[in-house]
Amino acid sequence: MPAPLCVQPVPSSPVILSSEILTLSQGSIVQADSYGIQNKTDRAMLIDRFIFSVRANSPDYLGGAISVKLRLGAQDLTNGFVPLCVLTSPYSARTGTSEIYYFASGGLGFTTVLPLAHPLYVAPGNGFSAQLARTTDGSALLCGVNLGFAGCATVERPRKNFVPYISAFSHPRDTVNATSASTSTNTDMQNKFGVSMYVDKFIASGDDTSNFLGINIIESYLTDSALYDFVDIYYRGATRLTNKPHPLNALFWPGQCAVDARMVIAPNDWFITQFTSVAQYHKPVIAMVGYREEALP
Amino acid sequence: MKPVYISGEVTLSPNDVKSPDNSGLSLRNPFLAPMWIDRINFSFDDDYAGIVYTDLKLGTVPLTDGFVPTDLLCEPQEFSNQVGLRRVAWVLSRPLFLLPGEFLYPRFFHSAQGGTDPLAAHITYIGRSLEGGDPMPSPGKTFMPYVSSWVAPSHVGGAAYTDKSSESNLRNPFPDPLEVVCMRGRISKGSTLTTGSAVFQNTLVRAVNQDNSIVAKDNSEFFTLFGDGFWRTRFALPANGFVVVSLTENWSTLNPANTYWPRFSMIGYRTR
Repeated sequence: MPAPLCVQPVPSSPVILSSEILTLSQGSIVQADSYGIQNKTDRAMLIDRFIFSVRANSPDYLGGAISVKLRLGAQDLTNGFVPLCVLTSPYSARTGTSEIYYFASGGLGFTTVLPLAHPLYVAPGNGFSAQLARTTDGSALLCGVNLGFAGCATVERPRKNFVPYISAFSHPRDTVNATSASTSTNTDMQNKFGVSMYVDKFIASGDDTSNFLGINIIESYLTDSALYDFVDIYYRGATRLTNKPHPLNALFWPGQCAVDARMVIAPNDWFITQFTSVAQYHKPVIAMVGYREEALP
Repeated sequence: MKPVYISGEVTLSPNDVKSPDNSGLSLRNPFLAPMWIDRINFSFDDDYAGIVYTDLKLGTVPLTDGFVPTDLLCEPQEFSNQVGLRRVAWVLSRPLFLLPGEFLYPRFFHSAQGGTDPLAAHITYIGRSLEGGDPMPSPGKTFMPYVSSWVAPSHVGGAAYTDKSSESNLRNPFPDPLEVVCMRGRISKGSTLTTGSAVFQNTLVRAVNQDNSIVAKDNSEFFTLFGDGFWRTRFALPANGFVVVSLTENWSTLNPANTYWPRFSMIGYRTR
Protein backbone atom coordinates (compact mmCIF):
# COMPACT_ATOMS: atom_id res chain seq x y z
CA MET A 1 0.00 0.00 0.00
CA PRO A 2 1.52 3.33 -0.97
CA ALA A 3 2.50 5.64 1.83
CA PRO A 4 0.06 8.48 2.37
CA LEU A 5 1.04 11.76 0.87
CA CYS A 6 1.93 14.40 3.36
CA VAL A 7 2.79 18.05 3.04
CA GLN A 8 6.23 19.02 4.20
CA PRO A 9 6.49 22.36 5.93
CA VAL A 10 8.36 24.90 3.87
CA PRO A 11 11.65 25.42 5.70
CA SER A 12 12.34 28.78 4.17
CA SER A 13 10.90 31.21 1.73
CA PRO A 14 12.55 33.87 -0.42
CA VAL A 15 12.46 37.38 0.86
CA ILE A 16 13.63 40.79 -0.22
CA LEU A 17 13.69 43.94 1.84
CA SER A 18 13.50 46.97 -0.35
CA SER A 19 13.81 50.67 0.27
CA GLU A 20 11.87 53.34 -1.47
CA ILE A 21 13.53 54.96 -4.49
CA LEU A 22 15.86 57.62 -3.18
CA THR A 23 16.42 60.67 -5.32
CA LEU A 24 19.93 61.98 -5.31
CA SER A 25 20.98 65.40 -6.46
CA GLN A 26 24.50 66.72 -6.64
CA GLY A 27 26.21 66.86 -3.28
CA SER A 28 23.26 65.35 -1.46
CA ILE A 29 23.19 62.83 1.37
CA VAL A 30 19.94 60.92 1.65
CA GLN A 31 18.78 58.61 4.39
CA ALA A 32 16.69 55.60 3.40
CA ASP A 33 13.48 55.05 5.29
CA SER A 34 14.45 52.14 7.51
CA TYR A 35 10.88 50.84 7.71
CA GLY A 36 11.11 49.13 4.34
CA ILE A 37 14.42 47.46 5.07
CA GLN A 38 13.47 46.04 8.44
CA ASN A 39 12.55 42.46 9.29
CA LYS A 40 8.95 42.96 10.30
CA THR A 41 8.17 39.27 10.49
CA ASP A 42 8.55 36.87 13.39
CA ARG A 43 10.96 34.71 11.41
CA ALA A 44 14.69 34.84 11.06
CA MET A 45 15.99 36.34 7.83
CA LEU A 46 19.19 35.27 6.19
CA ILE A 47 20.34 37.89 3.72
CA ASP A 48 22.76 36.67 1.08
CA ARG A 49 23.05 39.64 -1.25
CA PHE A 50 22.87 43.40 -1.30
CA ILE A 51 21.29 44.94 -4.38
CA PHE A 52 21.68 48.50 -5.58
CA SER A 53 19.62 49.69 -8.48
CA VAL A 54 20.37 53.03 -10.07
CA ARG A 55 18.26 54.81 -12.65
CA ALA A 56 19.22 57.92 -14.54
CA ASN A 57 17.94 59.70 -17.61
CA SER A 58 21.22 59.50 -19.44
CA PRO A 59 24.69 58.36 -18.53
CA ASP A 60 26.19 60.94 -20.83
CA TYR A 61 25.22 63.99 -18.84
CA LEU A 62 25.79 62.82 -15.32
CA GLY A 63 28.95 62.71 -13.31
CA GLY A 64 30.31 62.24 -9.86
CA ALA A 65 30.06 59.12 -7.79
CA ILE A 66 27.63 57.55 -5.36
CA SER A 67 28.68 56.12 -2.01
CA VAL A 68 26.72 54.19 0.56
CA LYS A 69 26.93 53.81 4.34
CA LEU A 70 25.24 50.71 5.70
CA ARG A 71 24.37 49.51 9.17
CA LEU A 72 22.44 46.58 10.54
CA GLY A 73 20.91 47.70 13.81
CA ALA A 74 23.82 49.17 15.73
CA GLN A 75 26.49 47.36 13.72
CA ASP A 76 28.50 49.05 11.02
CA LEU A 77 28.56 47.11 7.77
CA THR A 78 30.71 49.68 6.01
CA ASN A 79 33.53 51.91 7.12
CA GLY A 80 31.61 55.12 6.64
CA PHE A 81 30.71 55.86 3.05
CA VAL A 82 32.00 53.29 0.58
CA PRO A 83 31.88 53.84 -3.20
CA LEU A 84 29.02 51.95 -4.76
CA CYS A 85 31.29 50.73 -7.52
CA VAL A 86 33.04 48.28 -5.22
CA LEU A 87 29.81 46.81 -3.87
CA THR A 88 29.28 44.78 -6.94
CA SER A 89 29.87 41.52 -8.62
CA PRO A 90 31.04 42.72 -12.01
CA TYR A 91 29.69 39.73 -13.85
CA SER A 92 26.12 40.01 -15.05
CA ALA A 93 24.19 37.29 -16.83
CA ARG A 94 22.25 39.98 -18.64
CA THR A 95 25.08 41.89 -20.17
CA GLY A 96 27.96 39.45 -19.99
CA THR A 97 29.95 42.08 -18.19
CA SER A 98 29.19 44.33 -15.26
CA GLU A 99 26.01 46.32 -15.10
CA ILE A 100 28.04 49.45 -14.49
CA TYR A 101 29.94 48.85 -17.67
CA TYR A 102 26.67 48.29 -19.49
CA PHE A 103 25.41 51.55 -18.08
CA ALA A 104 28.47 53.45 -19.25
CA SER A 105 28.00 51.94 -22.67
CA GLY A 106 24.65 53.63 -23.03
CA GLY A 107 22.21 51.92 -20.68
CA LEU A 108 19.95 54.17 -18.65
CA GLY A 109 20.39 52.34 -15.41
CA PHE A 110 22.04 49.43 -13.80
CA THR A 111 21.74 47.03 -10.92
CA THR A 112 24.74 45.89 -8.95
CA VAL A 113 24.71 42.91 -6.67
CA LEU A 114 27.14 42.16 -3.88
CA PRO A 115 26.85 38.47 -3.02
CA LEU A 116 27.79 37.66 0.57
CA ALA A 117 30.05 34.70 1.23
CA HIS A 118 28.11 34.07 4.46
CA PRO A 119 24.39 34.86 4.84
CA LEU A 120 23.72 37.68 7.25
CA TYR A 121 21.21 36.96 10.00
CA VAL A 122 18.60 39.64 10.61
CA ALA A 123 16.58 39.03 13.75
CA PRO A 124 12.86 39.81 13.88
CA GLY A 125 12.49 43.51 14.51
CA ASN A 126 16.04 44.29 13.46
CA GLY A 127 16.76 46.08 10.23
CA PHE A 128 19.16 47.91 7.98
CA SER A 129 19.79 51.59 7.80
CA ALA A 130 21.40 53.21 4.82
CA GLN A 131 22.65 56.59 3.72
CA LEU A 132 23.57 57.48 0.17
CA ALA A 133 25.85 60.30 -0.85
CA ARG A 134 26.53 61.79 -4.24
CA THR A 135 29.51 63.94 -5.01
CA THR A 136 29.18 67.48 -6.27
CA ASP A 137 30.81 67.04 -9.64
CA GLY A 138 28.94 66.19 -12.81
CA SER A 139 25.62 67.55 -13.95
CA ALA A 140 22.63 68.63 -11.92
CA LEU A 141 20.42 65.85 -13.27
CA LEU A 142 18.80 63.71 -10.63
CA CYS A 143 19.18 59.99 -10.32
CA GLY A 144 17.20 57.44 -8.35
CA VAL A 145 18.63 54.66 -6.22
CA ASN A 146 16.81 51.68 -4.76
CA LEU A 147 18.34 49.38 -2.15
CA GLY A 148 17.44 45.75 -1.75
CA PHE A 149 18.51 43.04 0.67
CA ALA A 150 17.64 39.60 -0.61
CA GLY A 151 17.73 36.20 1.00
CA CYS A 152 15.29 33.94 2.76
CA ALA A 153 13.05 33.92 5.80
CA THR A 154 13.33 30.81 7.88
CA VAL A 155 11.94 29.31 11.05
CA GLU A 156 15.39 28.12 12.04
CA ARG A 157 17.54 30.64 13.80
CA PRO A 158 21.32 30.27 13.32
CA ARG A 159 23.59 29.94 16.33
CA LYS A 160 26.10 32.41 15.01
CA ASN A 161 26.17 35.23 12.60
CA PHE A 162 28.73 36.40 10.08
CA VAL A 163 28.56 40.15 9.84
CA PRO A 164 30.12 41.61 6.69
CA TYR A 165 32.31 44.65 6.83
CA ILE A 166 33.44 46.62 3.82
CA SER A 167 36.04 49.32 3.89
CA ALA A 168 37.72 51.03 1.00
CA PHE A 169 40.47 53.39 -0.01
CA SER A 170 40.10 55.70 -2.99
CA HIS A 171 42.98 57.37 -4.75
CA PRO A 172 42.42 61.12 -4.81
CA ARG A 173 41.93 62.11 -8.40
CA ASP A 174 44.76 64.19 -9.81
CA THR A 175 43.77 66.47 -12.67
CA VAL A 176 47.14 68.20 -13.07
CA ASN A 177 49.96 65.70 -13.17
CA ALA A 178 50.40 62.89 -15.67
CA THR A 179 50.69 60.39 -12.84
CA SER A 180 50.26 60.52 -9.10
CA ALA A 181 50.60 58.24 -6.09
CA SER A 182 48.79 57.75 -2.81
CA THR A 183 48.83 55.52 0.25
CA SER A 184 45.97 54.56 2.52
CA THR A 185 46.12 55.21 6.25
CA ASN A 186 46.08 52.57 8.95
CA THR A 187 42.38 53.14 9.50
CA ASP A 188 41.13 52.99 5.92
CA MET A 189 41.16 49.19 5.68
CA GLN A 190 41.23 48.13 9.30
CA ASN A 191 39.50 45.59 11.48
CA LYS A 192 38.04 48.08 13.91
CA PHE A 193 36.30 45.48 16.00
CA GLY A 194 37.32 43.65 19.11
CA VAL A 195 37.24 40.24 17.44
CA SER A 196 39.15 38.60 14.61
CA MET A 197 37.96 39.21 11.09
CA TYR A 198 38.06 36.87 8.12
CA VAL A 199 39.06 38.98 5.13
CA ASP A 200 37.50 37.26 2.17
CA LYS A 201 38.63 39.35 -0.76
CA PHE A 202 39.85 42.61 -2.15
CA ILE A 203 37.75 44.29 -4.81
CA ALA A 204 39.05 46.93 -7.17
CA SER A 205 37.23 49.53 -9.15
CA GLY A 206 37.67 53.08 -10.22
CA ASP A 207 36.49 55.81 -12.47
CA ASP A 208 37.62 58.68 -14.54
CA THR A 209 35.95 61.96 -15.15
CA SER A 210 34.32 60.92 -18.37
CA ASN A 211 32.11 58.43 -16.63
CA PHE A 212 29.41 58.31 -14.07
CA LEU A 213 29.20 56.53 -10.75
CA GLY A 214 32.67 55.22 -10.59
CA ILE A 215 32.57 53.34 -13.85
CA ASN A 216 34.93 50.50 -13.51
CA ILE A 217 38.10 51.56 -15.23
CA ILE A 218 39.37 48.05 -14.93
CA GLU A 219 36.75 47.01 -17.39
CA SER A 220 37.34 50.09 -19.47
CA TYR A 221 40.82 48.77 -19.90
CA LEU A 222 39.30 46.02 -21.96
CA THR A 223 38.57 48.51 -24.67
CA ASP A 224 41.82 50.40 -24.65
CA SER A 225 43.95 47.54 -23.33
CA ALA A 226 46.40 49.78 -21.56
CA LEU A 227 47.88 49.32 -18.13
CA TYR A 228 47.67 52.65 -16.38
CA ASP A 229 47.50 52.21 -12.65
CA PHE A 230 49.72 50.22 -10.32
CA VAL A 231 48.97 48.99 -6.83
CA ASP A 232 50.77 47.38 -3.92
CA ILE A 233 49.09 45.84 -0.88
CA TYR A 234 50.69 45.57 2.55
CA TYR A 235 49.57 43.90 5.73
CA ARG A 236 50.12 45.90 8.93
CA GLY A 237 52.13 48.35 6.91
CA ALA A 238 55.31 46.27 6.73
CA THR A 239 54.41 42.92 5.20
CA ARG A 240 54.22 43.30 1.47
CA LEU A 241 51.77 40.84 -0.07
CA THR A 242 53.11 41.35 -3.57
CA ASN A 243 56.44 40.90 -5.29
CA LYS A 244 56.16 44.37 -6.85
CA PRO A 245 53.52 46.93 -7.78
CA HIS A 246 50.89 45.24 -9.91
CA PRO A 247 49.04 46.70 -12.86
CA LEU A 248 45.54 47.03 -11.47
CA ASN A 249 43.84 45.20 -14.30
CA ALA A 250 46.44 42.43 -14.59
CA LEU A 251 45.75 41.58 -10.96
CA PHE A 252 42.03 42.16 -10.75
CA TRP A 253 40.87 41.48 -14.27
CA PRO A 254 39.80 39.12 -15.62
CA GLY A 255 37.92 37.66 -12.77
CA GLN A 256 35.33 39.51 -10.83
CA CYS A 257 37.50 42.54 -10.25
CA ALA A 258 38.25 40.75 -7.02
CA VAL A 259 41.07 38.61 -5.70
CA ASP A 260 40.82 36.23 -2.80
CA ALA A 261 42.49 37.16 0.47
CA ARG A 262 41.15 34.40 2.73
CA MET A 263 43.05 35.65 5.74
CA VAL A 264 42.10 36.02 9.39
CA ILE A 265 43.32 39.27 10.87
CA ALA A 266 43.45 40.20 14.53
CA PRO A 267 41.52 43.09 16.09
CA ASN A 268 42.89 46.45 15.00
CA ASP A 269 45.04 44.91 12.25
CA TRP A 270 44.97 46.64 8.92
CA PHE A 271 46.00 46.58 5.29
CA ILE A 272 47.71 49.36 3.43
CA THR A 273 46.93 50.04 -0.20
CA GLN A 274 49.60 51.91 -2.06
CA PHE A 275 48.81 53.26 -5.50
CA THR A 276 52.33 53.70 -6.81
CA SER A 277 51.35 55.23 -10.13
CA VAL A 278 47.92 56.36 -11.25
CA ALA A 279 47.12 58.05 -14.52
CA GLN A 280 45.74 61.57 -14.65
CA TYR A 281 42.00 61.78 -13.86
CA HIS A 282 41.82 58.18 -12.69
CA LYS A 283 40.41 57.40 -9.29
CA PRO A 284 40.97 53.72 -8.52
CA VAL A 285 39.48 52.18 -5.39
CA ILE A 286 40.46 49.09 -3.45
CA ALA A 287 37.96 47.63 -1.01
CA MET A 288 38.39 44.98 1.65
CA VAL A 289 35.44 42.66 2.26
CA GLY A 290 35.58 40.80 5.55
CA TYR A 291 33.33 38.98 7.97
CA ARG A 292 33.38 38.82 11.73
CA GLU A 293 31.79 35.97 13.59
CA GLU A 294 29.27 36.75 16.25
CA ALA A 295 27.68 34.24 18.63
CA LEU A 296 23.93 34.61 18.88
CA PRO A 297 22.19 34.31 22.24
CA MET B 1 48.06 31.96 5.95
CA LYS B 2 48.21 35.24 4.12
CA PRO B 3 47.40 36.21 0.55
CA VAL B 4 50.21 36.71 -1.90
CA TYR B 5 50.12 38.21 -5.37
CA ILE B 6 53.05 37.65 -7.70
CA SER B 7 53.34 39.10 -11.18
CA GLY B 8 55.78 39.34 -14.02
CA GLU B 9 55.69 40.88 -17.45
CA VAL B 10 57.68 40.90 -20.64
CA THR B 11 57.47 42.67 -23.99
CA LEU B 12 57.26 40.41 -27.02
CA SER B 13 58.05 41.20 -30.62
CA PRO B 14 56.54 39.00 -33.34
CA ASN B 15 57.82 35.43 -33.16
CA ASP B 16 59.55 36.12 -29.85
CA VAL B 17 59.73 33.47 -27.18
CA LYS B 18 60.41 35.13 -23.84
CA SER B 19 59.93 34.75 -20.13
CA PRO B 20 59.18 37.58 -17.68
CA ASP B 21 62.19 36.41 -15.71
CA ASN B 22 64.71 33.95 -17.12
CA SER B 23 65.89 33.04 -13.64
CA GLY B 24 62.34 32.86 -12.33
CA LEU B 25 63.53 34.21 -8.98
CA SER B 26 61.20 37.20 -9.03
CA LEU B 27 58.27 34.83 -9.46
CA ARG B 28 58.96 32.99 -6.22
CA ASN B 29 56.83 33.47 -3.16
CA PRO B 30 58.44 36.60 -1.64
CA PHE B 31 57.94 35.11 1.83
CA LEU B 32 60.11 32.11 0.82
CA ALA B 33 57.45 29.88 2.36
CA PRO B 34 55.21 27.14 1.00
CA MET B 35 52.24 28.47 -0.90
CA TRP B 36 49.07 27.55 -2.69
CA ILE B 37 48.34 29.02 -6.11
CA ASP B 38 44.59 29.40 -6.61
CA ARG B 39 44.44 31.39 -9.80
CA ILE B 40 46.65 32.47 -12.67
CA ASN B 41 45.80 35.61 -14.61
CA PHE B 42 47.15 36.34 -18.05
CA SER B 43 46.80 39.67 -19.78
CA PHE B 44 48.20 40.99 -23.04
CA ASP B 45 47.93 44.70 -23.23
CA ASP B 46 47.89 45.56 -26.86
CA ASP B 47 45.46 45.63 -29.73
CA TYR B 48 46.95 42.36 -30.86
CA ALA B 49 44.05 40.14 -31.80
CA GLY B 50 45.82 36.84 -32.33
CA ILE B 51 46.86 34.16 -29.93
CA VAL B 52 49.72 34.36 -27.48
CA TYR B 53 50.98 30.92 -26.53
CA THR B 54 52.13 30.00 -23.04
CA ASP B 55 54.49 27.32 -21.82
CA LEU B 56 54.36 26.74 -18.06
CA LYS B 57 56.69 24.63 -15.94
CA LEU B 58 57.19 23.88 -12.27
CA GLY B 59 60.92 23.33 -12.09
CA THR B 60 61.49 20.78 -14.84
CA VAL B 61 57.95 19.41 -14.65
CA PRO B 62 55.74 20.67 -17.46
CA LEU B 63 52.26 21.96 -16.65
CA THR B 64 51.59 22.46 -20.33
CA ASP B 65 52.47 20.35 -23.31
CA GLY B 66 54.87 22.91 -24.69
CA PHE B 67 53.26 26.09 -25.94
CA VAL B 68 49.48 26.10 -25.55
CA PRO B 69 47.13 28.84 -26.79
CA THR B 70 46.71 30.95 -23.67
CA ASP B 71 42.98 31.42 -24.13
CA LEU B 72 42.59 27.67 -23.73
CA LEU B 73 44.28 27.76 -20.32
CA CYS B 74 41.28 28.04 -18.09
CA GLU B 75 38.51 26.03 -16.58
CA PRO B 76 34.78 26.70 -16.44
CA GLN B 77 33.82 29.42 -14.02
CA GLU B 78 30.96 31.77 -13.54
CA PHE B 79 32.71 34.59 -15.30
CA SER B 80 33.87 32.46 -18.23
CA ASN B 81 32.49 34.82 -20.77
CA GLN B 82 34.91 37.48 -19.61
CA VAL B 83 37.67 35.33 -20.96
CA GLY B 84 38.73 36.62 -24.33
CA LEU B 85 41.98 36.45 -26.20
CA ARG B 86 43.74 39.15 -24.22
CA ARG B 87 42.48 38.43 -20.71
CA VAL B 88 42.47 34.95 -19.25
CA ALA B 89 41.81 33.87 -15.67
CA TRP B 90 42.62 30.29 -14.89
CA VAL B 91 40.98 29.42 -11.57
CA LEU B 92 42.54 26.10 -10.64
CA SER B 93 39.87 23.67 -9.52
CA ARG B 94 42.63 22.07 -7.47
CA PRO B 95 45.03 24.65 -6.08
CA LEU B 96 48.67 24.01 -6.80
CA PHE B 97 50.97 23.58 -3.82
CA LEU B 98 54.52 24.91 -4.07
CA LEU B 99 57.35 24.19 -1.67
CA PRO B 100 59.58 27.04 -0.48
CA GLY B 101 61.70 28.30 -3.33
CA GLU B 102 59.62 26.65 -6.04
CA PHE B 103 58.02 28.79 -8.67
CA LEU B 104 56.08 28.52 -11.89
CA TYR B 105 58.24 29.42 -14.85
CA PRO B 106 56.27 30.85 -17.79
CA ARG B 107 57.38 31.49 -21.33
CA PHE B 108 55.29 33.30 -23.93
CA PHE B 109 55.27 33.05 -27.71
CA HIS B 110 53.98 35.92 -29.85
CA SER B 111 52.63 34.05 -32.86
CA ALA B 112 52.22 37.16 -35.04
CA GLN B 113 48.92 35.71 -36.26
CA GLY B 114 46.89 38.75 -35.31
CA GLY B 115 49.33 41.54 -35.96
CA THR B 116 52.99 42.36 -35.86
CA ASP B 117 53.11 45.01 -33.16
CA PRO B 118 55.12 44.28 -30.02
CA LEU B 119 52.93 43.47 -27.04
CA ALA B 120 53.37 43.22 -23.31
CA ALA B 121 52.47 39.91 -21.68
CA HIS B 122 51.58 39.80 -18.00
CA ILE B 123 51.17 36.84 -15.73
CA THR B 124 49.89 37.04 -12.15
CA TYR B 125 49.78 34.27 -9.56
CA ILE B 126 47.08 34.73 -6.93
CA GLY B 127 47.69 32.51 -3.96
CA ARG B 128 48.17 32.02 -0.25
CA SER B 129 51.45 31.81 1.61
CA LEU B 130 51.60 29.39 4.52
CA GLU B 131 52.80 30.46 7.93
CA GLY B 132 54.23 28.54 10.85
CA GLY B 133 51.02 27.14 12.27
CA ASP B 134 49.32 26.34 8.98
CA PRO B 135 48.88 22.67 8.12
CA MET B 136 51.07 21.29 5.37
CA PRO B 137 49.43 18.98 2.85
CA SER B 138 50.41 15.34 3.04
CA PRO B 139 52.82 14.09 0.39
CA GLY B 140 50.93 12.57 -2.50
CA LYS B 141 47.80 14.51 -1.57
CA THR B 142 48.30 17.53 -3.76
CA PHE B 143 47.64 17.87 -7.45
CA MET B 144 49.32 19.36 -10.47
CA PRO B 145 47.48 20.57 -13.55
CA TYR B 146 48.46 19.53 -17.02
CA VAL B 147 47.17 21.07 -20.23
CA SER B 148 47.72 19.73 -23.74
CA SER B 149 46.31 21.20 -26.91
CA TRP B 150 45.67 20.70 -30.57
CA VAL B 151 45.62 23.63 -32.95
CA ALA B 152 43.87 22.41 -36.08
CA PRO B 153 44.84 23.68 -39.54
CA SER B 154 43.05 26.83 -40.62
CA HIS B 155 40.86 26.81 -43.72
CA VAL B 156 38.81 29.30 -45.68
CA GLY B 157 35.05 29.00 -45.97
CA GLY B 158 33.34 27.80 -49.15
CA ALA B 159 34.53 24.20 -49.01
CA ALA B 160 34.46 21.11 -46.80
CA TYR B 161 37.43 19.69 -44.96
CA THR B 162 38.40 16.97 -42.54
CA ASP B 163 41.14 17.15 -39.95
CA LYS B 164 42.34 14.86 -37.22
CA SER B 165 44.60 15.36 -34.22
CA SER B 166 47.45 12.97 -33.57
CA GLU B 167 48.12 10.77 -30.57
CA SER B 168 50.68 13.27 -29.36
CA ASN B 169 48.36 16.28 -29.19
CA LEU B 170 45.75 15.76 -26.48
CA ARG B 171 47.53 13.34 -24.23
CA ASN B 172 48.73 12.25 -20.83
CA PRO B 173 52.49 11.78 -21.18
CA PHE B 174 52.96 10.80 -17.54
CA PRO B 175 53.14 7.37 -15.92
CA ASP B 176 50.22 8.32 -13.65
CA PRO B 177 46.54 8.73 -14.49
CA LEU B 178 45.36 12.19 -15.43
CA GLU B 179 41.91 13.24 -14.30
CA VAL B 180 40.53 15.32 -17.14
CA VAL B 181 38.23 18.02 -15.72
CA CYS B 182 37.41 19.82 -18.91
CA MET B 183 38.05 20.06 -22.60
CA ARG B 184 38.00 23.36 -24.37
CA GLY B 185 37.22 24.14 -27.96
CA ARG B 186 37.26 27.47 -29.68
CA ILE B 187 37.16 28.68 -33.26
CA SER B 188 38.61 31.91 -34.51
CA LYS B 189 37.49 33.66 -37.63
CA GLY B 190 40.55 35.41 -38.91
CA SER B 191 42.05 36.92 -35.82
CA THR B 192 38.84 37.23 -33.82
CA LEU B 193 37.04 34.74 -31.70
CA THR B 194 33.73 33.43 -32.97
CA THR B 195 30.89 32.51 -30.65
CA GLY B 196 27.88 30.47 -31.65
CA SER B 197 27.93 31.36 -35.31
CA ALA B 198 27.24 29.13 -38.28
CA VAL B 199 30.73 27.73 -38.15
CA PHE B 200 29.90 26.18 -34.77
CA GLN B 201 26.96 24.31 -36.25
CA ASN B 202 28.78 23.24 -39.37
CA THR B 203 31.78 21.84 -37.56
CA LEU B 204 31.27 18.26 -36.45
CA VAL B 205 33.42 16.58 -33.85
CA ARG B 206 34.28 12.97 -33.13
CA ALA B 207 36.65 11.98 -30.35
CA VAL B 208 38.00 8.62 -29.25
CA ASN B 209 40.51 7.62 -26.61
CA GLN B 210 43.55 5.35 -26.76
CA ASP B 211 41.31 2.26 -26.65
CA ASN B 212 39.24 3.59 -29.53
CA SER B 213 36.36 4.07 -27.11
CA ILE B 214 34.09 6.94 -27.97
CA VAL B 215 34.57 10.16 -26.06
CA ALA B 216 32.36 12.25 -28.36
CA LYS B 217 30.16 10.31 -30.73
CA ASP B 218 30.24 10.80 -34.48
CA ASN B 219 29.03 14.12 -35.79
CA SER B 220 28.57 15.88 -32.47
CA GLU B 221 28.10 19.53 -33.25
CA PHE B 222 30.93 21.73 -32.08
CA PHE B 223 28.21 24.01 -30.77
CA THR B 224 26.80 21.25 -28.59
CA LEU B 225 30.13 20.39 -27.04
CA PHE B 226 31.76 23.78 -26.85
CA GLY B 227 28.95 26.29 -27.15
CA ASP B 228 30.30 28.25 -24.21
CA GLY B 229 33.88 27.22 -24.86
CA PHE B 230 33.95 24.46 -22.27
CA TRP B 231 33.02 20.84 -22.07
CA ARG B 232 33.05 19.77 -18.44
CA THR B 233 34.35 16.25 -18.22
CA ARG B 234 35.30 13.89 -15.45
CA PHE B 235 37.26 10.98 -16.75
CA ALA B 236 40.63 9.49 -15.99
CA LEU B 237 43.11 9.23 -18.81
CA PRO B 238 45.52 6.37 -18.05
CA ALA B 239 49.28 6.63 -18.26
CA ASN B 240 50.29 7.53 -21.80
CA GLY B 241 46.63 7.75 -22.76
CA PHE B 242 45.35 10.18 -25.35
CA VAL B 243 42.28 11.53 -27.05
CA VAL B 244 42.11 11.87 -30.81
CA VAL B 245 39.72 14.47 -32.19
CA SER B 246 38.38 14.20 -35.75
CA LEU B 247 36.78 17.21 -37.36
CA THR B 248 34.34 17.29 -40.25
CA GLU B 249 34.23 20.90 -41.36
CA ASN B 250 31.20 21.42 -43.62
CA TRP B 251 32.11 24.99 -44.40
CA SER B 252 30.86 25.17 -47.98
CA THR B 253 28.16 27.67 -46.99
CA LEU B 254 30.61 29.90 -45.17
CA ASN B 255 32.13 32.99 -46.71
CA PRO B 256 35.28 32.07 -48.68
CA ALA B 257 36.77 35.40 -47.66
CA ASN B 258 37.01 34.21 -44.08
CA THR B 259 39.56 31.90 -42.54
CA TYR B 260 38.47 29.65 -39.69
CA TRP B 261 40.75 28.14 -37.15
CA PRO B 262 39.60 25.55 -34.55
CA ARG B 263 41.69 24.64 -31.53
CA PHE B 264 41.25 22.42 -28.54
CA SER B 265 42.75 21.78 -25.15
CA MET B 266 42.41 19.16 -22.48
CA ILE B 267 42.87 20.21 -18.84
CA GLY B 268 43.57 17.60 -16.22
CA TYR B 269 45.14 17.03 -12.82
CA ARG B 270 47.41 14.35 -11.50
CA THR B 271 48.73 13.68 -8.04
CA ARG B 272 52.04 15.19 -7.18
